[in-house]
Amino acid sequence: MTLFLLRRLLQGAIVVVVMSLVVFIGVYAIGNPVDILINPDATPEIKQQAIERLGLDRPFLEQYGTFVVRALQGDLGRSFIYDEPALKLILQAMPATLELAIASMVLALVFGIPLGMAAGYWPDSWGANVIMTGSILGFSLPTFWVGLMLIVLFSVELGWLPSGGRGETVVVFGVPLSFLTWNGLTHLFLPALNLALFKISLVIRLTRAGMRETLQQDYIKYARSKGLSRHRVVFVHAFRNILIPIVTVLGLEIGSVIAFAVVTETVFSWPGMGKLIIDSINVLDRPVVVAYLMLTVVMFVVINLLVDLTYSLVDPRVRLGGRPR
Amino acid sequence: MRRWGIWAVALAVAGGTATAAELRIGVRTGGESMDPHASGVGSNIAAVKNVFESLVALDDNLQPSPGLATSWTLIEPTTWRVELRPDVVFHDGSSFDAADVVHSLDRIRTTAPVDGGLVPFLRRIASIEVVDALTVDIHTDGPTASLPQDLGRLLIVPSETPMDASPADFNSGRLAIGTGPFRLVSFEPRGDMVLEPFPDYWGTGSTWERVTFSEITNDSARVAALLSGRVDLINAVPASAVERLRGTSGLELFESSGIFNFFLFPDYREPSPTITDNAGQPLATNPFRDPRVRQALSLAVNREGLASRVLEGTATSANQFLTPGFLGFVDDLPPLAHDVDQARALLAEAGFPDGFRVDLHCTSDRLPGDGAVCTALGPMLARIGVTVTINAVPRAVYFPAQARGDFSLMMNGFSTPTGEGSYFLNTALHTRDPERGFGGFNHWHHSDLDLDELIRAASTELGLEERQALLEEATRQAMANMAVIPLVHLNVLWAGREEVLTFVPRVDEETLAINVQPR
Repeated sequence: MTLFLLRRLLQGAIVVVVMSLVVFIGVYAIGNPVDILINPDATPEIKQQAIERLGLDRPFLEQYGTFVVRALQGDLGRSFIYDEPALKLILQAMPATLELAIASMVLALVFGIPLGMAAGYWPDSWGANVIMTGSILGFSLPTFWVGLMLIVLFSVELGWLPSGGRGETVVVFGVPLSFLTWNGLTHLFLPALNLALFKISLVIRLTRAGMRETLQQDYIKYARSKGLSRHRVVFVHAFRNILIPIVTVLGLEIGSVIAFAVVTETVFSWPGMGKLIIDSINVLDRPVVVAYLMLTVVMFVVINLLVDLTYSLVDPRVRLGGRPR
Repeated sequence: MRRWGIWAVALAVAGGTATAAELRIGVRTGGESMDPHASGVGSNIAAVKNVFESLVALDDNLQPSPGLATSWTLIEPTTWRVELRPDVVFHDGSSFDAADVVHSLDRIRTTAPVDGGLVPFLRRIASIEVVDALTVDIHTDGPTASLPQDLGRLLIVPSETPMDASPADFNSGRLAIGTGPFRLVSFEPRGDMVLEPFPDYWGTGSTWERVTFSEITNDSARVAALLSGRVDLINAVPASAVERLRGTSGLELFESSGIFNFFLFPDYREPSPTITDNAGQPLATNPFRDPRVRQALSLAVNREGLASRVLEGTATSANQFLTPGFLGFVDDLPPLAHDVDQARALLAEAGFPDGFRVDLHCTSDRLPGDGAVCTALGPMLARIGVTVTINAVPRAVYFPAQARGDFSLMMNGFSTPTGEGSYFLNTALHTRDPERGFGGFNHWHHSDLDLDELIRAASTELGLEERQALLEEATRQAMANMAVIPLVHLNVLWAGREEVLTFVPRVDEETLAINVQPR
């Protein structure tokens, strides 16, 4: 177990280092951010001062070296635009995104697992057909369009729910949260649903496939012939075994929801990290772009590790690393 | 653990219909910082101008008018005497005087942000001298006709504002202390900005109880926010939504000509990177250096089509580089013709009967319709035999590459935020001359020494009529040579709820709360 953790942490560190180099080369190759930001009327002298102040006149390796040294001290640079530490900007926007991501994951599980289990248990019923057809829609409709349609239907035509923004928030331990007020919840629902649609479909399909496969297994037949209740067979014996693929996929999905909730955040003007990164990419705000991508890498490494640890909880047969015993 | 004490209800936009006393505005781009000196970007200036003011106010058509200064007169060719408005107070109750002016100009000079901020508007000011508490003399480094315009950009903070104050101090509201019609209540960078009227404002204040600006970047979402009643006014109405909004009862569209024009900028360097003959071989000379070729490009463009179809009526054909009404706009220039046969004849005359190939570069995410106009130019130029490869790229890619000199033919939006012709002529058409501070944005390396002399004469001429004559002459000369090819002139559109408000548009696209009146 310890050996496994150490090995995984080392692998993670290598990924982070490689990624930092790739990201840095990438933003360096696009060009000089001052050219985008500078007032057309500025004299070359003013421009040169800005370039020097940001250290953009230094050779590539020197810029990278400075970045690494500072990053090791927890300083990922200052935003060119906001003139605040990049890390602080990202962490400020993070709670909004986390709230949205968690809400959409909850929706995915609450709707996805029961529907998927039902579709797997009664595969030939008309209900299963409806569920599976619906999940195809969930997969194939673009988030962007669905978001706009949700706004048109629920905000513009029906007027039931607000069309965007975060609504009233309540500050808990310094973190503003929307889901604790009714007004905030109404603002949270549409973006969370929009983000969850794809994931609900994914969970339905995984659960259904797992369910159908598991029900054919000998141990299920044995459990049945032993006279266990249908309830116990499905919810205890089968359920635990279909969880493994769901945990894997959802683990990765939560990472991608947090890192790439961009589209939903833009459509619903949800003030999260996705909006920050897009704004920053548009004006080549290097420190924010680099810091964001580095955080994303770290997050994926950590999530993957947690997923592997969760396996051993769900399925005792899974052993972590080391020689097979 | 119960920590009810730290619970606080943050200010936010509530759903449903607004009360008449509260105004909610959805803008495409909100401010990044409430420090009025931290940025020269238009959207940021528009946000801070609700709170801070300048000595000279630029009116809705960008012409100088009295602001914190009541008058400005030349007492010597390089000295302007500025009389300050008496009885003006800042939001913290302190009174405004000459010391605040001196301090603000100093602070602008020292805080120079990445984009150059407001420094370009200061560069002609050599020194500032306090005559008495309400009079200052501004000495320039030479005759400077644009000084009133420049002063219109320099926002005034109290003399107590620390030189190195951080954006956080302004964003929290602690230092967001101006003389403007609104006080800052709360601010999130690129998020919500909440304002309330300042009761002791020297001018005619606002009657709204509270004003909230929310950033809604996505065009469709912004329109939906208006339709659903989340906001009362939106800016930057996309062309695709104009018909829908016009047909919705209870909504009103507010239209104004804007400060942005689309241009084709041909590269004048020899050789130019992406020009080849039809077989892909480099040409002996750069065809764009021949005025007949530039005339041919102009004749190839169907401006009416671009304005009415590609931009769905949110633009008008351009025949020069300024907005009508700006100093230097020439009233009697004829519209630019669209004539494919003549264009082909001119190309043949210039020695390119079979045309040539060139890459056309433009931004795809900077201005409304930029990518679409660029794409539409492809077939238009193909009809006269100029085969263009269209490259519509994000602005983050475009601007650094343009500055590196990678492009041969560029379609670029260019704005004139100063309301007069010197801005474009000085930066985009004057020969690149870093020593004298001209041609800073002349990425096409245009050079015409006769025109340069006119441009320099105009920028030092202090008589208004003489200056106007020089600017108009420069415009005529540049257009006669087709130094750049004007395409269309972008209009700007707002839409608001008819029963709630009336709005006076500004030509520079700034959405200022003071321009919105309750109905």
